[in-house]
Amino acid sequence: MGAQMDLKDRVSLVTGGAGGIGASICEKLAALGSFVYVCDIKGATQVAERINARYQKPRAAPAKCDISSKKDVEAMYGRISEQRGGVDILINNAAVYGPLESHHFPEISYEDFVKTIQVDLSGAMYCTLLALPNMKQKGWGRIVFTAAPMSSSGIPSPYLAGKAGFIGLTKYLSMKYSQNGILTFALALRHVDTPMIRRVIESRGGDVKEGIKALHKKSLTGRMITPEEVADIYTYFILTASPRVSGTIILADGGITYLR
Amino acid sequence: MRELTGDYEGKNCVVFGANSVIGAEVSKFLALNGVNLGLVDLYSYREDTLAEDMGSSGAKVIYKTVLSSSEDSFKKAAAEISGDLGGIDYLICAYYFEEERERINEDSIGIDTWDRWLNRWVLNYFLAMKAVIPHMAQRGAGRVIFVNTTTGYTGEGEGEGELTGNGSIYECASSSAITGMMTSIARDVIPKGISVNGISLDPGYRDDMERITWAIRLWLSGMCEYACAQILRLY
Repeated sequence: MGAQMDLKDRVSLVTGGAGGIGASICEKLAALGSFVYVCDIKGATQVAERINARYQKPRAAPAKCDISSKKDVEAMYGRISEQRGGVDILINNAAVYGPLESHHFPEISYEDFVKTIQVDLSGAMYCTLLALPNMKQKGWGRIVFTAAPMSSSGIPSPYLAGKAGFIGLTKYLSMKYSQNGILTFALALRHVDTPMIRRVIESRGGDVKEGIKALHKKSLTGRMITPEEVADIYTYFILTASPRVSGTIILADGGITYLR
Repeated sequence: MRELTGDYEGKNCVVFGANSVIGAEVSKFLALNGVNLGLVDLYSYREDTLAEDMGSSGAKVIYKTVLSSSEDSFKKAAAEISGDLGGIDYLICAYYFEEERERINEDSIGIDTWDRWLNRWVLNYFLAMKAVIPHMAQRGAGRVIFVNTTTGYTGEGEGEGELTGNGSIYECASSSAITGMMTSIARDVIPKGISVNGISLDPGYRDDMERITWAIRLWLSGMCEYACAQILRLY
């Protein structure tokens, strides 16, 4: 096949690395030999420790960072650059859902809108812009986005705006850099069986068990996708992609968007 | 059969980004069709030129300058326009980076530039909606049109438009963000009788006014009783 089937000597940065999907991606990348920076506001140390406990040499380090803050992101990249030379694989996965109450328009406040989109879109933009110079220099890079279908309904406007922004980013980066060895990919997810989705159900006053059951049923496959399966798709792309498939956006929603 | 073609006489429209090429042309088109206008932008107008263009239409035209990312400023402008015109029927968001004439060089891409795009385009569209929708909701009817570019779908920033080119990563991201925001907001406000739709333009065709006004007419027409959260992509 000719593709590199392990990620030794590759440095990864996973934003939202302590969350349900993010932690699975970190574990998977480390298992493939990559050194992984677990980027999150909290919980990054625990995930990095959990990973390192499995290997003789450390394969992960926490990168505590509020990605909505330019200064934080610049400082994080400065540290990574000093320690490992730069980021080769960037997983833009961090997201906040936005206000759990009063998230409909026009009730949603401007402050909440800004706070959410700063994490969901600006954070990814900052991380991407700062990852590019190293990738360009090496002629190799992978940038992945955890997106959402643009047609998703009932999702707060800043969250969907941020996720939709990834579509433009994915397309632009693939047009611009595919021929330079920097490949881009987005996975548009609807419902993933994570703690975040449980928090959303709970905040809406719903019964979590029943809510989860309903979401499993909503998918034509009869169950939601798991974080481990999401991580499998990401690593498949990272290991096997070629310039001809860069810019691909895969809808992994159990058929809800087009078949329901 | 419901009226699907436009009868705009006496309707009131806020145009945010009225100073852009598209905003100005759409405003002229609407004024000539009898629509009263509240023209809003981030900087002062060539009011004389616009007044001359619209002078013969008989439409009432009000000019307002707003501060970028200032909710109070947008709210005040909307309230004053609504008061002067007697309500707001339409909102057209047609802002574009007309004032940023310099091409952005790839080597100089920086994270500060992104903040400017996000604020001026995405956040100000949000604020325009936030300021105007309550006036529409009071009347239980309204039409909103977002204008952005096809770069959010194609990733191609190197069209003929002089404002695209290297560095248009900002435009691609903010344009698709606008589409996502529109989709979510459209769902929230349709029960209030307000339809939200969009027009995505190829940057190379920004001055093809025949197609643009055709699309504007479509989204202001009775068609919007049935269409919501739709994007017309004009390549």
